[in-house]
Amino acid sequence: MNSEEIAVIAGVRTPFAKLGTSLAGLGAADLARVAMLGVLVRTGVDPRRIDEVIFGCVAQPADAPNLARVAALRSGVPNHVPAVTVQRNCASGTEAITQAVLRIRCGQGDLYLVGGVESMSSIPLLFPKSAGAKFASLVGGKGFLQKARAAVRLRPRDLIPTPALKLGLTDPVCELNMGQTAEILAREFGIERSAQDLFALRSHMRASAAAEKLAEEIVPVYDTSRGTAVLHDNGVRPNQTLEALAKLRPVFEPVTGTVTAGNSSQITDGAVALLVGTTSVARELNLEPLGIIRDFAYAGCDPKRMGLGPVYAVDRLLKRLHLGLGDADLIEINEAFAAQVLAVLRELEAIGIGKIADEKLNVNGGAIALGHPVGASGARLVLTALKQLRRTGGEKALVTLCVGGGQGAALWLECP
Amino acid sequence: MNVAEAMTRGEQSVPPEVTPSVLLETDEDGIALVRFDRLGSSVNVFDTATLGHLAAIVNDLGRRSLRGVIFMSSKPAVFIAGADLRELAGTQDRAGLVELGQQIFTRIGALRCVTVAAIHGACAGGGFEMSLACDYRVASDAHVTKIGLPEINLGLIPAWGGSTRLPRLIGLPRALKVILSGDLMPSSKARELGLVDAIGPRERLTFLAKRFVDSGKPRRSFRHLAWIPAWQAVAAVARKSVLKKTRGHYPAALRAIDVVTKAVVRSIPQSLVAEKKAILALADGDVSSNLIRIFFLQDRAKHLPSPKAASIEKTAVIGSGVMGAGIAQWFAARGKGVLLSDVGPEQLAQGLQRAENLFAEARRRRILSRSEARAGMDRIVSAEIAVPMKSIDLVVEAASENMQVKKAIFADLEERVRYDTILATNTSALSVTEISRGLRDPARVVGLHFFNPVHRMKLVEIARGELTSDFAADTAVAFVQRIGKLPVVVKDRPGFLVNRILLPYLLEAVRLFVAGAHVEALDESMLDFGMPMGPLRLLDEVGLDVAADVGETLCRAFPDRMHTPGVFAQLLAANIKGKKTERGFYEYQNGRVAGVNRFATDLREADDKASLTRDQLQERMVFLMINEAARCLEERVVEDPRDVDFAMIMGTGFAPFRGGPLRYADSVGIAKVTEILERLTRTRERQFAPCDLLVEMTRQQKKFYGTESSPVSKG
Repeated sequence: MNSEEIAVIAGVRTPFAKLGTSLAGLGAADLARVAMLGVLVRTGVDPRRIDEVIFGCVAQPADAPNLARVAALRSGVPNHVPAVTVQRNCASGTEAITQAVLRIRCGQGDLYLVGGVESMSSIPLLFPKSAGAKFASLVGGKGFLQKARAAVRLRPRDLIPTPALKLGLTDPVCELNMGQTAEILAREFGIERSAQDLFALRSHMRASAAAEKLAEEIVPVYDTSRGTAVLHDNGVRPNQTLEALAKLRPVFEPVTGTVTAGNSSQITDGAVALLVGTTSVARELNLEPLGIIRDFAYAGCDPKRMGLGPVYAVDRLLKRLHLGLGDADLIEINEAFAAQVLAVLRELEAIGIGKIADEKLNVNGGAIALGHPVGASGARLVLTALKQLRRTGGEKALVTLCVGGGQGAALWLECP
Repeated sequence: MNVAEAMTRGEQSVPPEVTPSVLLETDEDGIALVRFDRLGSSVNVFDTATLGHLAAIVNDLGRRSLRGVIFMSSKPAVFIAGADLRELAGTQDRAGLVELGQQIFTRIGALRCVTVAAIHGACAGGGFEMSLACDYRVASDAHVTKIGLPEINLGLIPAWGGSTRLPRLIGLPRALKVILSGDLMPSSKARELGLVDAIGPRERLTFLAKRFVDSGKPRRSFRHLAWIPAWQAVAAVARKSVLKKTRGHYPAALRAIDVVTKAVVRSIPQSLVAEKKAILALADGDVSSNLIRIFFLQDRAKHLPSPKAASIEKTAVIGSGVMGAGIAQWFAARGKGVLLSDVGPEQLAQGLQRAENLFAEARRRRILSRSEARAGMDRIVSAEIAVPMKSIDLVVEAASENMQVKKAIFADLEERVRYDTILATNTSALSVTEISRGLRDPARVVGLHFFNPVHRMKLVEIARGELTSDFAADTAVAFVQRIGKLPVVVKDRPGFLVNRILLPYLLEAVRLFVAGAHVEALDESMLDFGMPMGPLRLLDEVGLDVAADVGETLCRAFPDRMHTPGVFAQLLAANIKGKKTERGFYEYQNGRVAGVNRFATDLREADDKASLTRDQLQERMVFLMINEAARCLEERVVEDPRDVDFAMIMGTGFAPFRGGPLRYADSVGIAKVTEILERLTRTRERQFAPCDLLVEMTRQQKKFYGTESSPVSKG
């Protein structure tokens, strides 16, 4: 048992780039490698010193099982340092961090390379299971006749692939798409389309105003086959207007719905890497930590209302810490959907946990503008929050996310 | 032991325990294992003694009733590296040595049991010729396994049956390709070409060989007979292509074509006689002795001592231009971590793309596998901002050729690296001493001059500044050797060694161009001399801006005899920088010459009147190089004429068969060289004035290479 304070010692991220744009040529392992190397090279930390690599990734690529291990080895982390990939859907990035915290508490180690990555552009197309068996008999069939018979059995629908991305964003228990769960919250909390669009506009405006601050988090990604450097997030729209947002059609409920591509998080590629360790390790490495991880909590809820996850996780965390919402100088709620964030705010108030002041919430914008590379977002929020605390001289930050499947994650960070 | 003794010993049965280089054991399956294991050496070679042992063993095998014989090596990285070159070059009885090998291999071929060569490690020349005499060849898939017949690179042909047996095994065109290229190939490629029958892991090689013993004697191959109607045509085509490439300077290729193509219409004994005749004639010639000498010089560079060296694992390269990226790629491909940095992300992106392209090329050429290339690329880590460098053992600066820029970089590096990190500069002409001056520890600075393109050019000049420590210089030597390059240690003089000698030649080419020499005639004249590329083409390749930079340094250092023709400035002003801008002395399309650049020719003082003959052009350019080479020796840029010749051949491709500029001067005659230079000086061109050393050597009737060790007396 180690009761020392646990710090985020350093952290970087890649630019966040919209699906199919500047980072589409790289796989998840490539992106994770860039982030891992970014933090190792910039701090000069000897990778032999690391106890384990823990990385979150929702859709692990088929060609890189245990992606954390693949990326770690490709980053020059020596063979003897183990690596594990963790998956808690949208909270996979925080899961990596909290796993490190638990390991340190248990005395398993004192320095972890953690983070999260998602290459939404690389998520494959899937053929139906029915087609798989038919393909197999086509390839494995003996003689022309068997092969011909197998070929005849193939139906057009066998050849229509489903994007795994679509499956991944659909809850297999309640069979609702994530956007549909946001529509439920919008209906139940009476959140109008205009309120959602206004929140989306706020995200873009804040993110574009904070572009320089956000750039401090970023290490360039090099597309070596094209000879280009990717330096900036590309989802933020500085010229976004309410009128333009109002023109977008609802995606999940075509006629009556309110959730559009404009007021949802963007589908994005990106990676984040952090060094998490005890404060004494930070001193040993001669690095000034970004901040302290005080505590964390996960909580479950109704999968159909997964967007409310933060309410339960925050409630649990605050009770553990005997603190109130008002104690936080800064609050990051992951912007999966504008409707979902607004529902969380209303529910927190309704059940008496408290009201979040606008000037404390997502001050540098959120996933609606920057994008939501699902495995990476949790770690990105921690990095962004700690950098912002240091900038403003604030002391405490609360980071929370909703999680597909009906969960919430919450972390309490401090900058002493 | 001489050849005659070896032959007589071969007639007796020698018990295996007294044969130190070749061991024989017979296992329970009735299979004899012949192991090559030269005492006190990490390699196996065929010298007279080893051949004698082998002869005895083969005789013994012939008398016994065996199921099979497997030939193998006990060395970790060598099967049999070939004939002992020192013996071949030195022996009085070459004919005897050639006959001895032929006879033993013929006896191996005549054994009644199944014979298999189980090849792990380098299997070159005579080693592969022995394998060819076996019924089957199996090879390990290890990296160290390299198979081929490199005799052509030494101006010789395979004459222990290789030229005879290979076309019988794989057909005429492929055999010609293997023998004329002289390439040593990985086992996968050898398998594709049919040089070996199967590949397996090293640990399973004997098992694999036994499978072939079980399969029995192969049917005799008549594959070569198919080529009987066509052999003359094949020979004619090959001869034409060889002549185009070598301009007749390399007689071995032509002899090889003759012997190999006729092998398909001759009996084996007839063809062996032809092999012997050809190799004896070639070995007597200057070309072969010069090429063998270069081989030894390479060996000398590989083993240059470096007693105070530290080992280098992590490196940093500053600057990701053509040179920086090339250096980074080479280090990474050789297993070294590289921190690559540049002034901004755009520059780095291009540098990384260059490295990626080099890895892609290495994959295409099957030097690296897919995963090796990826691992190599992953070893290059980029940094566009100042990052900690405490883990770095060696920094190579490859920024722009500007003293102020370099001094600033080194001052910054000194603050960021470990106390024992070596700081190297890849400058091609600036003073290493000057770069190091002002640092707290200037002794750690050394010149590490790679040539372009880095992945092709094996030479690296290690320039010792006045303040450079033995530790820094030795570490640089050992590192260069470690990454598979060849070091030459030079004094910190302007242009070091190679550029110092090359530049006067290039400047003279440009002067001749300005005076009206035809661009192509000029380049052709030097191709005829044996250079790999004409001087104007070379300038385009190097880049006129880069050449002008180096030129400026040298012209400032030696104003009495070097000056940059004004045409350089005119061309650069029009953004004509050579191949990289698609226009130089030539025009380029998709990287290929598309004709002479009219803009450049219009700048000349006179036009294409071919005032000078080919020989006159050659004379002016070549003798200027000889003069400067002699000066380098005189100034002790290096101490040994061998260093000059070696560096010029490996660094510029100076006609290898001529043995380098100083060896060539010896062959012309020093007195004649001086006389020609004096004659050229009479046209009031001071650059031709023979240097003091040449004049002195003429007076004393000395040569660069002779019975006396060196023309420059020691001490």
